[in-house]
Amino acid sequence: MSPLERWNPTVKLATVLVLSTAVLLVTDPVTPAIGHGLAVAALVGLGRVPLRTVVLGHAPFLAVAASLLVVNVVTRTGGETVAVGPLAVGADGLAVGASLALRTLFVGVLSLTLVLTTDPVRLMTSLHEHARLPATWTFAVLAAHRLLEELPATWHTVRCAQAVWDPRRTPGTLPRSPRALGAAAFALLVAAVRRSERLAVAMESRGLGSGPRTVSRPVPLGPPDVLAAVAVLAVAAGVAVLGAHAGWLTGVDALVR
Amino acid sequence: MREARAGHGERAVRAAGTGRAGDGAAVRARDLVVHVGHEDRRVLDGVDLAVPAGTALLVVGPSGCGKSTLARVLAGVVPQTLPGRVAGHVEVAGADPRDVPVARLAADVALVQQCPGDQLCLGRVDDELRFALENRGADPATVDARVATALAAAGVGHLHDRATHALSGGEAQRVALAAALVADPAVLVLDEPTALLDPAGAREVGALLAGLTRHDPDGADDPDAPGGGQAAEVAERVDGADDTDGARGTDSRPRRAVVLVEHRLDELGRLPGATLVLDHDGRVVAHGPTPRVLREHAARLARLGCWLPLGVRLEAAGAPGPLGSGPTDAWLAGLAAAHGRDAGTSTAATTGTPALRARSFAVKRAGTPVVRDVDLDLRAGEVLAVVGPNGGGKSTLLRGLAGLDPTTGHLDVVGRAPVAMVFQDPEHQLLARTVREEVAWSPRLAGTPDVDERVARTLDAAGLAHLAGANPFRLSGGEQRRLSLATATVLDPAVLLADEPTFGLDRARALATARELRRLADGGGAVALVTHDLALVARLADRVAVVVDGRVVAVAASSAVLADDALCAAARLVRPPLLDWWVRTGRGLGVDLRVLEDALDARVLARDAAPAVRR
Repeated sequence: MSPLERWNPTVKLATVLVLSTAVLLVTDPVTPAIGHGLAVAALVGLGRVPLRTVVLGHAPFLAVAASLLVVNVVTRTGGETVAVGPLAVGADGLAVGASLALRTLFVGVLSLTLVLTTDPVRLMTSLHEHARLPATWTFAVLAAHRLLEELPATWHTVRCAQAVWDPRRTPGTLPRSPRALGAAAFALLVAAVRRSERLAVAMESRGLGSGPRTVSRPVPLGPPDVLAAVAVLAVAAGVAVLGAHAGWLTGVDALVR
Repeated sequence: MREARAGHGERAVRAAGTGRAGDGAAVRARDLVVHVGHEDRRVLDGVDLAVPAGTALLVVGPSGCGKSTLARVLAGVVPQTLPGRVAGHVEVAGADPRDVPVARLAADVALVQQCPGDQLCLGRVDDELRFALENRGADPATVDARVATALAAAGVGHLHDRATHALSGGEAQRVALAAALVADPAVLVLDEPTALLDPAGAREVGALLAGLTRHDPDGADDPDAPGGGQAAEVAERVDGADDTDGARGTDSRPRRAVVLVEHRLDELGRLPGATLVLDHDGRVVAHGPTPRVLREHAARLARLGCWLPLGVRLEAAGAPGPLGSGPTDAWLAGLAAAHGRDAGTSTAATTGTPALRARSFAVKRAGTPVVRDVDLDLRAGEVLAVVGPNGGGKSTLLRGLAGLDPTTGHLDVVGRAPVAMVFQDPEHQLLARTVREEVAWSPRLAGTPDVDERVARTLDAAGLAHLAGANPFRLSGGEQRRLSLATATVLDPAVLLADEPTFGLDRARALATARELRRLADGGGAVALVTHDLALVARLADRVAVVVDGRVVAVAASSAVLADDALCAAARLVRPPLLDWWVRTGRGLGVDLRVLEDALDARVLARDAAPAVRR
């Protein structure tokens, strides 16, 4: 296991939440850019995640980041005029837009860190042990996770199963009309309800919720886990202090300017 | 971090030690009446049963007789988790399953359900077993060893670190059994554990179940166990077994009681010592030692539409001895010869014109070919069976032939479109508010002029006319199957593809479905069906296509494929006993297997039922 995988999942989750919240207070582009760089370095170096996976994982966040940048550049016209290629845009809009975009990428990499370096069962066990979440709740989340993983395949089967009733169908395509999708959605819902009913029976018949339970593979929580969190937060604080001294750090007040 | 109970022994042991019934019956029901669902439908009516600790009870009956409901009542799932009303007396491991919460009852009563995928809750095999122990407060220090022991006992020790979703059906079901047994429950309830498995998977699970139910004084001490004949085979299988169930055999607790709902009796190999037979209305037909019940009620069971073990079937039909003895071989050959040739073997299979022709055909999912290099003709007038292991691509092939999944290569649908297809889960195909609308869907889209008349005719033929106004989602599973077959045949399609149209159905309904498919083929249609039921293949199909790992590895006449040992082994096809006999012996004696099956059925049905034995 890589250091990031070994890190206690509850502490890791808490640290990620603190960082994600803290970056909301920052509106300059430099601070989240540094954060993003450090997070990517940690994910590759300490998480041993291939760089290619990290880059591909950026795709959904890049889309959001790009739209945030465009919206802010177009709607915020204050500040000096800056030439971006053939366009002239306001410096305020560019700064805030870039900040929001980079913040999105930073939070995105933090989520990737959680998803790519955390075993779901370990996370749920740890949340039960250390965050005192009820076991019925944590295992319901795990079961729902399994259910969600199967939904795309069921959705495809249902659409095929219903499409076959149309004698005029075009081979190789499935109907996309709202009516067809609605009927498929209803059948999918029924299938999901039946499936979750059976899963619930299965979990109950394994004795889940019968009383206090034991944990045979406890997830360790020791000084190193806490120390790691302190170190990460200290680095974050260091970046903020550096920014304040160098003058690039701005807070939420920049938004209302 | 460990909870208060750790190290003090788990709740299972304590609970089991307290309230066991005085007479030693681990499961007992008297005058059990059960209504289920929001419609409050009565499914069990006045059921009495007793399962002493250390014995096993087999529950058989036609589809919809309340077998599954009985299993769920014993585990407390009905009425606690699923809606229902349970009246009468019921006691399981000393507790009333209506009062004790399901999860707490689970310490003593383990439940194994039909669908292997639906009962594994976690991602990894050993996590699943640890989960079962941890929930019951087991001592963490013992968990790893107990998990290993339980997996080894189920023959799946090598799968301990595998992902549960990557298991085959047979593997998943054995892991589910291990997870049920790991906490050493006093009562084990199994609801058709082999129903969804391919033949080899069913055998694997069957062999495991035989081990669980083997020590059974009830069956062995049957005072009128016959000295000869086929039923003796059942008794012998029961008492001939030695006690090797170490988990329970060595401790002082009473032994485990097993309630097994199952209809694939030939796959089980060894039957539980006692049997309970239910009829269509959920009433008890018979309850007693297995050999006696099966022998005395063979004709009644056949009429109810239940499967009978081959031994019992042969004896009921009047065979002189067990399968494989000289006199019986001759008797079977004589029986087939006397019954004549009325099974109507289709000649269209070899001469019919292709209705559908695939060349260099591949079916893709998410861009990658799942089925490839297929050269296949489906001929007018034939029934083609598509067989092979779970996950080999049989369903994908059918979806490709139906023009649903993206394909490459050539696919010619000769003659009139459309290609109709019946999916495995009928609920996936429902899209209308009423049964009538459902059947009318395709004719309306096709612009057929006589929609109403055609729909009425089809509903009549399917025996669904009385449900025409009902909501399709509210029908029973068997009715939904008939509905999807009716919807698929309403336009008299030139090509019908059916994905496991008989799985989970009782014998009568499976045979009715087979007759419907045969009728379609005899009317000039081309039929392809995916199935795991080799007895059905032998009875229905003209040709067989074997699909392994996304390729069609063989297409030939049914008899040639079913007789090919190497091919059967490669495709995990395990022949049921009568088919195996036919391959080894009957074929050489000139026996037509279809005629023989029909002749045996006729003989069994002709036998007068013995007076009901109710105990």
